[in-house]
Amino acid sequence: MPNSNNRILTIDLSSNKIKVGLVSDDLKLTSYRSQDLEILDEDIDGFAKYIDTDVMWSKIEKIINDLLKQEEKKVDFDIIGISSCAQRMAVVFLDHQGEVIYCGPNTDVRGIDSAFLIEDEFSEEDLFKITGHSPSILFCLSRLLWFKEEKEESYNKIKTVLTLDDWIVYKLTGEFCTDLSSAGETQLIDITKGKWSSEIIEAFDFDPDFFPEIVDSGEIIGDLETELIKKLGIKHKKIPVVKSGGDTQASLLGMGAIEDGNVGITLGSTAPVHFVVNKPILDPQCNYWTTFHSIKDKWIIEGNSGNTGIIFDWFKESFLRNGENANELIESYLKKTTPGAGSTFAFLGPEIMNIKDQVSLKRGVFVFPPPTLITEEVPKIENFARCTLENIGFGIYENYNALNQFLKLELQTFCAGGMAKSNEFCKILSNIIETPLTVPHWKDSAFIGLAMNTLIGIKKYSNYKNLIKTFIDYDYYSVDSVASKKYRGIYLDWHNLKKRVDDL
Amino acid sequence: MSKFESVEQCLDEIKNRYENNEKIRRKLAKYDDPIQMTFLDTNRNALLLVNKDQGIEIKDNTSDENAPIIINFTSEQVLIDLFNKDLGAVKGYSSGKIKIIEGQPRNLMKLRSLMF
Repeated sequence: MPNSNNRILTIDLSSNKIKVGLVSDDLKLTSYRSQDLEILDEDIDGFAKYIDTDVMWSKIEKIINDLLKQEEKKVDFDIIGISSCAQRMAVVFLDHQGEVIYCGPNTDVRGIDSAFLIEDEFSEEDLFKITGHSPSILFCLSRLLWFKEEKEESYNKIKTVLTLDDWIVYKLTGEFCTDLSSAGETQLIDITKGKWSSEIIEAFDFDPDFFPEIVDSGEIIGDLETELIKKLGIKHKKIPVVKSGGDTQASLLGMGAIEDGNVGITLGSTAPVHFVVNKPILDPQCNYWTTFHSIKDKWIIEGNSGNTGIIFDWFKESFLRNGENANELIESYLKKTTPGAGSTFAFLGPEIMNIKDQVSLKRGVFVFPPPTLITEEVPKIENFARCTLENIGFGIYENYNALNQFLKLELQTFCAGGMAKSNEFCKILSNIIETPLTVPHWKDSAFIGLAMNTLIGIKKYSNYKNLIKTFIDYDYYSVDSVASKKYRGIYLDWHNLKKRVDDL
Repeated sequence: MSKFESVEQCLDEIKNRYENNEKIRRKLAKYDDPIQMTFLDTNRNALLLVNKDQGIEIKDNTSDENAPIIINFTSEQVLIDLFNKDLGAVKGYSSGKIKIIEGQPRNLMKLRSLMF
């Protein structure tokens, strides 16, 4: 039970959901609601995607309204602050009136058509040295160039370039700003200096005024707009809005991964594995991304296993009839089965991050012993469920292992996100990566991270470490040496099979 | 615009795009690697020879096994569907109808507006 009636309103726009939560000032998630975030195709090719911001904002308002009413039925509460985070790499271009010209999600790769302009100016290595990010097709830089090249009229109307989280803050307060955990994923920031890169901005002749002032995460930007206070049904007159930034950084905060050597695995639509470091270490192979944590003077190095939560959700929707109890069913399947899933292997996408192989879209494959007249045991749905989750575990392992060898840190490994709600999956993951896992009680840790930034912003607390120490409770998963040893062999079998499957 | 009905028409369209679209030629200003397209249903090959922004030559029924970019199509219809916008490039890749056998991602990206 929360120990006060103070609540922080938190908004998380993830890759496929709009999520709004209320968190108490002792960091307990008291209630939350979510709806799908619709990503639209601009053309049949599927490269150019966009978000209808009117629809998205209407949904946000509706969810907030419903959530506040839901909480009011339980308790008489005060909102002491608001903070938001959003999918990284999503950006919004605004005109002189602050109207949206374009809102592109993290999956918009229209930059494929303008990347050549970047490559004419910067080698991959040089751009990576400045920004810590590659390839050029994914980020705001190539999207700005796409508009300049393909939609000149729209480009000429651009006045302000924001990340999606910056845009939410603008909608809440009317103020333009960004923070490094958001802006660091635009490929327009100097990762060492923590400033907009004048070298890049000048090379492409962008108007420097496009890019807003950089503030710290955990800083008050302004008060919630009066009109919104009425519209959202909030009874107080002055609600501070505190800047957060990237959703993954908020998640890392909420799981407590803030110190050099901490590793945070965020089990969302994808599964980024982040190593927290004290300086901007760059991968000499230009593969693993370096960006900013929400905490000042902390950087994070990312290896991303690709689609993980998406695969998990797809499996539940496609293979399990009872949608409502799908998570419980999966849990029971995992309890019934053993490592290796009866020689059943899945190759559904999760793997080591290989940014240079970005155009490769592989086929999804299950490899399993089929029923024959002489077969004694054939795989059942339980085995397919287990091997799907083992595939996710192997993908995370490959990134974890690669980054661990590259960074050589003393590690404590945290894990949160939707899939961390599966006790059995946490056991599997801990055994595959051969490392104990520290899992916070509140698995939707981005909400908690946003609340932490708010408490720092409104000066209720001054120190993230103390907040974590005082309020975050954990479950611990230790390594089962027998299962872990088995997984070493199973992973090698999976890895060897994968080389052949990749050629399909 | 009338529908594409044959590979020949698609190849003509590639030439047409190159010759009549200045942006595409600018994109290919530093590109001169041969591209081989293979249609697995008919075993037909076509070779695209782009000479930077200076010209393009398309050789139907010609192959070059050493071409640095080789793209396989499961059938001729796949290319026709792409040009008619009945099939998206991403769906074509992910369903296995189009497969990159050889090729640097950076170069393939430059070819998108020419071919897909």
